[in-house]
Amino acid sequence: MIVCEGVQKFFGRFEALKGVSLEVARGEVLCIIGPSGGGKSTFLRTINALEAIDAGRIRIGEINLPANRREVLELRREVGMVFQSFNLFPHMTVRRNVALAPVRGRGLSWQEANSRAERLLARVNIFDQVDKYPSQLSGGQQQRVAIARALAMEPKVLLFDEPTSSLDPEMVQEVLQVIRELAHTGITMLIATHEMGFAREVSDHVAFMADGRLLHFAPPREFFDRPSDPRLNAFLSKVL
Amino acid sequence: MSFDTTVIWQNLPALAAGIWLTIAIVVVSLAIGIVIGLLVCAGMLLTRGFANYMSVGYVGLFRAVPEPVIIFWLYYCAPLILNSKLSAFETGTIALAIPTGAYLAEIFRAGIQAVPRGQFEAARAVGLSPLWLVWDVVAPQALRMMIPPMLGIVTILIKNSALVSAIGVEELFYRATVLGGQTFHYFEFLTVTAVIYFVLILPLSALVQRQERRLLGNVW
Repeated sequence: MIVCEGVQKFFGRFEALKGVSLEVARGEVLCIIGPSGGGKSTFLRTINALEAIDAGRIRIGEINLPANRREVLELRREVGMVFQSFNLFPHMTVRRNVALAPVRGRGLSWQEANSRAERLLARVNIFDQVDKYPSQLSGGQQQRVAIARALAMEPKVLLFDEPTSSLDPEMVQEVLQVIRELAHTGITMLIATHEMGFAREVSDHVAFMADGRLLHFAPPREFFDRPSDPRLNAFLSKVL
Repeated sequence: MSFDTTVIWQNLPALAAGIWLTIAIVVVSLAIGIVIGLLVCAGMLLTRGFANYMSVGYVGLFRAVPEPVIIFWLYYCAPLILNSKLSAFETGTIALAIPTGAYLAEIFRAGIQAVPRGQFEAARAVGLSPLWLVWDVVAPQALRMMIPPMLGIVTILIKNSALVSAIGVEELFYRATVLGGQTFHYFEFLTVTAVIYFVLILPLSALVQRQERRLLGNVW
């Protein structure tokens, strides 16, 4: 589903990604862990072209990056993203937040999109809040709306950029539970996270990124129980 | 000292004509100013190089030159260069539109840049095209922040419209001074004129306060 080869990204003279190569099969769940500033977010953001890559190649389904504007637009309609800081549209109701993209990007009528939105919001257990504005919701509720918004385009791939990092501790589980349920639906997911227990439980593979490099890549049991990389060992001993 | 209301009533049609012309000046120069402001704002935000320098230079220049200088320059100097002369009304409205455009460009720029980066990213991430991104996500949020300063600009524009009386545009202030001079009732005409300007601007001030309260309350 996703193939990355030698992906490099510079911010000015700082090399944020130093040649990342990896493959994710259709329907797989990949968790990416590692220290902050190690390139996890930047890597996820290259996959939906929020960051243009400076070298290397990425293939997502039929689309190859780098790509022209029209292909990038098509790509983003197939790849949903959930941000650390939710980024809901504050001037729209919860329902409209979810319904907007299918209307603008897929040509659905508002009626069709609204009923799709309500169905998805029910799925993330937030149906009773459809007429509220994001500022009236808790962080956990907002993030669940953001997940419904990403799902509304019926994407083949979902990117989660530290989805629980800005949540109060008591709201982390409700969001992880929603992501956990999605993991079994066959959608391909890439999740940057600091939740080790969650990563171990839902992943098909876990990747360790630090210093802009992919240092370790393994199935979760092997990854957590027999970490062979010294930097991963050091990291895990700090967070576990 | 007495306040003679009859002289006001007798000349009401002339004053009313002045009010209408004042409103026309404000509406037309605001419309031109918005077009200038949008172009200059786009020049500042979207382009690099020449168009960007031009836009930044435009704002810097016309925020610094006093409005009367622009009015007189356009009326007396521009015809020497352009080899044609516009009417006083045309000159006045354009002269007022030029600095209004500069102020509006800055307001538009500040409003757009005040929309958080995450909003642009979320809009792009759900696959909105650039046009829908602006229409659905950026413009509604930016406009809301622009409204109070824009109403402030309109207030200043209404007051500055009195300046074009200097080149003989027969708007409200011009009529007041002329009628005052003709009837020796300056006191009545200038007092009434002051009240009329106040009444024209009053609803705008009320709107600003309401909008600012809404912004503070953060209720959509």
